[in-house]
Amino acid sequence: MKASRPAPPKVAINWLMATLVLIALPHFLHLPAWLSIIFLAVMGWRLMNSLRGWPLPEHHLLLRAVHLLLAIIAVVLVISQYGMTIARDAGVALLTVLLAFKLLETRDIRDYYLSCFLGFFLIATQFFFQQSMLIVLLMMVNVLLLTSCMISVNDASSSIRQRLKTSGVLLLQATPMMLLLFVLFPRVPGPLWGVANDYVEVADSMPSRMTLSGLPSLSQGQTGISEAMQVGRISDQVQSDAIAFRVRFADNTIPPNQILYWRGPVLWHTDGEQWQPLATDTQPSQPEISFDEQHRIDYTVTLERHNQQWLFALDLPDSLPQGINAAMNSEGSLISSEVIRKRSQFNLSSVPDYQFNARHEPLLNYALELPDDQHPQARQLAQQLRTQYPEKTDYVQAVLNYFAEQPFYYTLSPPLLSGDVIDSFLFESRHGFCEHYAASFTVLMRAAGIPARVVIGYQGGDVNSVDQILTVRQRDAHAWTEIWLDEQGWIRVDPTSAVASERILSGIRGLLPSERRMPRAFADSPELENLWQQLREHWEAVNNAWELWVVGYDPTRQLELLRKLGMKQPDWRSMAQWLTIGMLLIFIALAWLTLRHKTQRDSVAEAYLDFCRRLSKSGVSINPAEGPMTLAQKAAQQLPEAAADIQAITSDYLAVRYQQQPDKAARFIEKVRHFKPRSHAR
Amino acid sequence: MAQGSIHAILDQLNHIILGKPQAVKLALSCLLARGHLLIEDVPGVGKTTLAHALASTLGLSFQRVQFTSDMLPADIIGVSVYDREQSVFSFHRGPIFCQLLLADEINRASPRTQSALLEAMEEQQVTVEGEAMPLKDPFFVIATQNPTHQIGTFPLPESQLDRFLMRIAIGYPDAQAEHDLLKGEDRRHLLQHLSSQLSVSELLNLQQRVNQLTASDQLIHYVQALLNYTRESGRFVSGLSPRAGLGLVRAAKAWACIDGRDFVLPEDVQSVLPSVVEHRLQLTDNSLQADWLSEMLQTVPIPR
Amino acid sequence: MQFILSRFRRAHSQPRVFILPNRYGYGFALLLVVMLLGAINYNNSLAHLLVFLLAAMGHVAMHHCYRNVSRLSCKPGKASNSFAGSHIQLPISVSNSSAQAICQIAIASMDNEKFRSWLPFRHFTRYRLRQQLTRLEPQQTQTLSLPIPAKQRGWQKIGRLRVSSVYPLGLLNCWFFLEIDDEVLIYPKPFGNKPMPNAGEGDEGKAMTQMVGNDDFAGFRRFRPGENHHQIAWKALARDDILRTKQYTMPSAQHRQFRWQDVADIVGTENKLSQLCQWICTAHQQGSRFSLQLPGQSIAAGNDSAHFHLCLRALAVYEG
Repeated sequence: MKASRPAPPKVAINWLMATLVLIALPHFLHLPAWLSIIFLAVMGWRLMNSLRGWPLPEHHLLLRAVHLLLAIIAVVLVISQYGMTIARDAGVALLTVLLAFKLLETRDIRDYYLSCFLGFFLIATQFFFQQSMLIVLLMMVNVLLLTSCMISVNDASSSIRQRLKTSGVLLLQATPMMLLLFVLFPRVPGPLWGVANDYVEVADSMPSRMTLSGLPSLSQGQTGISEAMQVGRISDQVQSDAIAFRVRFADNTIPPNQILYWRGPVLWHTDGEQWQPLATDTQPSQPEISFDEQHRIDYTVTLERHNQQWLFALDLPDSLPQGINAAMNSEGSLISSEVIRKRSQFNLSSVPDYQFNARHEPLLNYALELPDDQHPQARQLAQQLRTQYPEKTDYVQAVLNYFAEQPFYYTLSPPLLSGDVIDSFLFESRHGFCEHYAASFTVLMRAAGIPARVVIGYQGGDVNSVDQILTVRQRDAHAWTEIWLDEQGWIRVDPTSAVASERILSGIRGLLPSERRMPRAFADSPELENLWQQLREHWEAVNNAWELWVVGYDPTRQLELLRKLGMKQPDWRSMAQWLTIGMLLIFIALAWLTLRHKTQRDSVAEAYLDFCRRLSKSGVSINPAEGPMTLAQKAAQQLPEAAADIQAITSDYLAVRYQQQPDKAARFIEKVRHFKPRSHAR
Repeated sequence: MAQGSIHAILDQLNHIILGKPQAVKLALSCLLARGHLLIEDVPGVGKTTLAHALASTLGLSFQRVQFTSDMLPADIIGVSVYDREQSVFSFHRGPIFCQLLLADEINRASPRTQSALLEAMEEQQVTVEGEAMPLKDPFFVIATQNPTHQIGTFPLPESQLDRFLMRIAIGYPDAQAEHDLLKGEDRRHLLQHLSSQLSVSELLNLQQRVNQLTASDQLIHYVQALLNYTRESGRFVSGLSPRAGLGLVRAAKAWACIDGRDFVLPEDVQSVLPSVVEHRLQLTDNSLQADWLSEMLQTVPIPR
Repeated sequence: MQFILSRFRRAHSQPRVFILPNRYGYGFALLLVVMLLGAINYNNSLAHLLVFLLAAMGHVAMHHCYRNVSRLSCKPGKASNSFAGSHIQLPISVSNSSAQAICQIAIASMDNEKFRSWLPFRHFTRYRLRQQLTRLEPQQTQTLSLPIPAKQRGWQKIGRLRVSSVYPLGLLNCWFFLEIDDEVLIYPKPFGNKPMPNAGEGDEGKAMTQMVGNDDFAGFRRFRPGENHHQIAWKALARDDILRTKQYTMPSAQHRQFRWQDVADIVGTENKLSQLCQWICTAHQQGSRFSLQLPGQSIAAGNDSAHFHLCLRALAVYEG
């Protein structure tokens, strides 16, 4: 005797449809258009069933076949689009298709709940693509709506407002428990079984293009600093606001902008256009560095994932980073032992004054290489200046002067170069940005017999005055040159500063077009500009905190936070302990919250019930459907000794309850308290 | 004045209608609550006598109409007759232009005639040839009908039963009362010696007072619970209407007034409940006309 | 997610309230586990947040579900007697002692006492839904009527009622039991197609007159306005100029006798009782007087409600 499950009410189905469309909406941005159309079309079919009574698949054999066929076509399309591998995008696409067709054939309560559960799943998949505060707000709204859908299937008679109110109350009361679990639930470092490829490749907050790379790489995966540099083949440098890393300095003292060189990979080999790092087989021993320990800077870097092994450090770190497994290579760059696939945090200390391989540099040969038969004009210039300034330092200064005095311009959108890029830059276009200057300066050095290499990384960053966090973005990417001098080692020389010193002194922000910095409407008035600046900094501070403490909350962060909260040895056992205690407290609080109103009965009724109890103990039968007067007469008959009391109490009760004389309530309660029918009886 | 005169009225009525104080009190409270009364009982138990006695005691002008199947609305309301001497139509008022109308065997009349009367009861006026004529104030209808369904009768439809505030039965007198009745004077003869205990204005005052009696929230809650029971319990085809609820409160007020109180008790509601609701409710399960009324009163708790 | 919970009411006399996840609750828990594993695998902090939010919602829903049911107090009234094959109407007055409305309460009664199963879910298939309470506002009382099938003639115990709700989310089932020891008398099912025995010789004609109308002339009465003109005694008017109408009275009905021997030709005691019951109901509806004779018992004629029930009661407890 299997009872058929009841069908969900139409209102509930309509609500669920609206909610699911809202949940799927953000996915439409990255799902193929045909899939969004199928989703909406299937929803539309169901909607027309609700509004106009269109038949559903279950009503007609032909329609059932159409439904099945459509579902198969959709799945085949998904497979043909993404291939057979289970990946993130394919998974989301499949889930969306599944959800649409499930809703279309939703017949009973079980189907309905399944649709709801799939809806929750779809909400979760949004975090693969976006992790902003906005998307969490949207998640809250979605959960609220989906919960009200679940309520509507249980309580169809309630109004929309009542349902939303109930689910809002549920959501609000669930928040403390959610926060407790979020903070204290022992986090397990993932992955458990491996991660879909496309999830790793597309970093969420980074664009797939790069400042310094020769080609704007639209292909997936290549983000952040690439390990090669190509000069002159791009005309417009992509200015990305994406965050590369954040830095918090110890004691919140931020060093001046001109020493904020964030060192990345070092490039040696060049074919005239492209610059590349050393081949891996030529890696020699440890460098020899001495530091002037007076100016030591301690800081913490939170690096966004860039899917390479570089760690960026302030030039030059005097120790290995803490919190991540890394080593320093012979060029003074830090290399992580693993590819940075997730946001990573590490502590570092750097000293800006250092001597690098001052006595001996084993790779000097590589630092003098120039491609044969190239840059004839540059070589000629170098020769000419070198003979004029025999002293190396004089020569370097002369080249810098050359950049400063000749009409060189710093621009983020230089003209395209053709032929010998270095020569045509130095003698024809003379418009360029950091990598043009770094590359041509290095060529000029090498042509004059001075060992030189190109370093790429970032320079500067934005300081937020609210939380004192320095944010380094992709647009802060930079390239500079290091030259090797006897007894001094490698010395940083930034030719860009000779052309555009403001780039180094105040960062790249000042060089951006003004509309990139703030809305045009604000640019006219200094007060508005100031206000805009403040708002922006606050917003960024909130965003920083969000990224670091919510989105970036992982096992390491958890331990750090718990230590800060005063837990001495946070491990999963103590976490479980505190979690249990916290959950128990919330349980009690909720129980109190939901059940507390029980005793809220008015005292008159309480007293009257007490009166009835006393009478019934003396043998008077009490019937709740009997009026007070009838009861009084009955009781007076059975207990003639107490008749006067009974009459008095009843008349007071009648006065309070039926004659609207509430002032007699106190007297009535008092009388009941002293009423003892049994003592009269004896 | 009021309490004394009410006592006098009751005494006089009980003197005529022997052994039926409950029915007499209900009938009086129905009139005090400005409601129309339906008496359903077998012939010969004193329906007409009760109506007569009420009219005389309250000093109301009285008309009796015997309803039959071929009666027309004009037989009640009146007709326009052409006056040859003055060459105009003059309206001859029907029996409805009185203060207390006894509609005998109302279920014998055709539905058309019934509804003409019931409409007049509801609106307190009649419309003849487009001209509205108000009825007297106060205006009561006491209708009687026989309980057994017979061929040639038109039972009042539900909607029209609703127009009667109360339906009561008189029932056979008990042995002592019957003994007195048989031994005593002819009731019709006694009726002629009744004196009116109340002037019309005093009656209107009394009705006003009934209306102003206190019905506390607590009491209204109880009435609501009763109404809810008829709506939710599933035992009735349809629950009581808000009009029935209003009638219940009004009747209870009149009952309390007769008892000399200026506030209403649940007991008052319980006393009038059977007469007020029984004719408005239809059981879903008709095979069993068990004592659902007393059961309802036993089940619905009184708010404390 | 949720552990098996059964909490206790404070007051001594009130029933114990149980709460357990239902099948959708377990489905929800499974969903959370899968989502948590996904969140861990992808190191996705916000996915953790969502899982925790949903788990916390489940927890809150448990409290609400418990309040919804535990704050309902039920007082069963007295059930009416009823005929076999129809329904006993058990009135139940339900009241809400909390500060929020109570929603979607289902009241079921034990239907299949013999059904046994070790599966916890199957256990509840013994109960059949009888009545649903959609919404009860705070501090309100309502009276419901539970239709419980009347099975067999004789005394029937109402037994156990299950008051339950899955409100608000439908993931948890919360319930308590009401044990009702009251017994209700079930009358025989009225059926049978034997014609009703006649009241006596020559009564048929009288019955006819009663049906047709008022044919027995009873005398004259003075005319009153509104009376039927056809009934005016014109001859009498000619005699003394007084308008009179002819009066008619109804003959009083003879009483019907229902005797055991009238149903002697019907096979089976139950069928006989059913036929008698059928007659009694018909007679009562027609308003005629009747008497009942059973072996070893005889009830004198009457036509009121008490008499009607007395006769039915005799049939209900009859032991042949």
